[in-house]
Amino acid sequence: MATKVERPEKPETRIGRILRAEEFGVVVAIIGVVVVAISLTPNFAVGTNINTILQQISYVAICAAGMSLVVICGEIDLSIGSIYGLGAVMYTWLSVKLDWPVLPSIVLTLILGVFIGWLNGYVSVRLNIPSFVVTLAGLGALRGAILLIAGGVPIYAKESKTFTALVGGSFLGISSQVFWMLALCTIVGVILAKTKFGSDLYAIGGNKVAAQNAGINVSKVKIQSFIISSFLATWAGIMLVGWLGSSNPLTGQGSELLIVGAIAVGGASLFGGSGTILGATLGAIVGGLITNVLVLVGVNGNWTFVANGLLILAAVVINTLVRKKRKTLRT
Amino acid sequence: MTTTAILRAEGLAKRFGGVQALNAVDFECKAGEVVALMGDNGAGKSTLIRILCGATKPDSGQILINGTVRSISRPQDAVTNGISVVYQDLALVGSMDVARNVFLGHELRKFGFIRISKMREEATMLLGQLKINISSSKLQVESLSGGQRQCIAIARAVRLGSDFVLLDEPTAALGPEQQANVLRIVTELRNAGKGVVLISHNIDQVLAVSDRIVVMRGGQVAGMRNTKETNTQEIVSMIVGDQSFVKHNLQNQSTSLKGE
Repeated sequence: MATKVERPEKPETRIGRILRAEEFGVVVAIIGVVVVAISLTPNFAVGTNINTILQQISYVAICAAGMSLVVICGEIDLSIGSIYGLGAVMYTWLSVKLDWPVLPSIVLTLILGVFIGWLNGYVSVRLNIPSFVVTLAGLGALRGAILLIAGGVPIYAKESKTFTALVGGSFLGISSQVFWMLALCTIVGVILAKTKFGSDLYAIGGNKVAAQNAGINVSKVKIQSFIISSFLATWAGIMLVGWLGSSNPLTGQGSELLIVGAIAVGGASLFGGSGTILGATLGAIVGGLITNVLVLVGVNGNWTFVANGLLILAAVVINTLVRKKRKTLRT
Repeated sequence: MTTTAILRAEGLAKRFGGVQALNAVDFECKAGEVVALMGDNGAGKSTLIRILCGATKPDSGQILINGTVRSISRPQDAVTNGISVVYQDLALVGSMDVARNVFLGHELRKFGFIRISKMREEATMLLGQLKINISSSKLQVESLSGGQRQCIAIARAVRLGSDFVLLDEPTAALGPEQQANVLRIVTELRNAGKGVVLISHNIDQVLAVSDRIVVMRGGQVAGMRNTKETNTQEIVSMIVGDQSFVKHNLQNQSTSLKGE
């Protein structure tokens, strides 16, 4: 005899699926900001301005894509802004101060990024120390290291065709950074959505004990997420040098706020178990749009920090309320 | 009919600080039988289960599967050796859908990519085989009832091809109808030739579905009975360790026989 249905489940409609999607809120936010921007200033919907916005958000989006993996498995990396800055400074220091060729400088900088990610993950996971404490220490220590390496002053990148071809050029009026953003976010998005590693991240963030009982190597997966996050942040730092032509010891300072903001605004839970790369990328776009609009309408630049802070708060509050509401409806 | 002993524990002992949680425990479960593990809180049931599923290392003793000593020091080792454990609340990821939970940790893959459609198809088929009525394998587990979740956790153990399924209080915190569903699946597992170890505090349920009852007390096996040859009073007396309770009942039975 078949088991009786304990509770009838309604089949989900297409509209219901769209409304329930984690990215729904952020898409609405983007549309809202764009409508307001177009009505406030004619300079917004201009090709060069759109490219500038995309170029500016590409660094945040790449870092947010990597850190989404860390957040989804229930951890956080507050040192990401410093890692991003270290990527820029380390590359210029190796290639300019030590006069290394471009490619070895890039490779060694990325290896350093991988090592820092591994260290963050290892200390947090293996020694069971909360990652926000470990990476908060990393935030300070790495910023100090950046200042020491750079000597407190900007380092100007040397001329290099290889470097320009990699991260300095543009195609059809769109900067190479935008293409890197699209490529890397797509790759990380596919890894998260379609591979066992991605599935393991969701499982660990959703219920760590269940993941462990199912035979998932929780420590290994978490450490891998820190490594990928740090690798991408380091690459974002190198990319920035391609755009600005120099590194600055203050590069990335405070950007952890923008990155965490992009992830939260994108619909991810900062407690782990949910989130998408598409959401984080769209979250980065919202942050970038707001900053751009404030600049275009001539508002004092310091208001952008206020706006970003309020944006994170609003996103977290809305996400929490939506999740509570869904839970209430189910019980 | 002879059955093969598929799992046996010999002389298991475990101490936590000053507490001897298990002391020289022998335990056995055969293919196609349901062994109920009963005892008061702190009797050692959970420690025994945790050792059998690789979550806790014993201080001494060994685990044999089909007569061969096996090293089970991690949950993965237990799964490899055909042992699955279904914890009451710790088995599923609520934010993931039914199919992903059924395949948790053992996802179907092709060229490194998860085959979600195939997983949903197979999960639906498996739920059908176990007569678990859930409308879609795409549903998020947190949207399901406690009984349905428990059934999914058991289905996962079945899918892993485990010969031996350990159920840690599978009916606790469930309504009567949901409890009946879970117990029906326990019977289905036995009929499918699986060995089932069922931890429960509910004597009526244990008497209804088990073949043997092992009672633990103070970290030791206090007694073992074939379910058909025992009753509630005897099991309770074994759980609480009240031998006079047993003697009293035996005397009553003897008096009533004389009276007849």
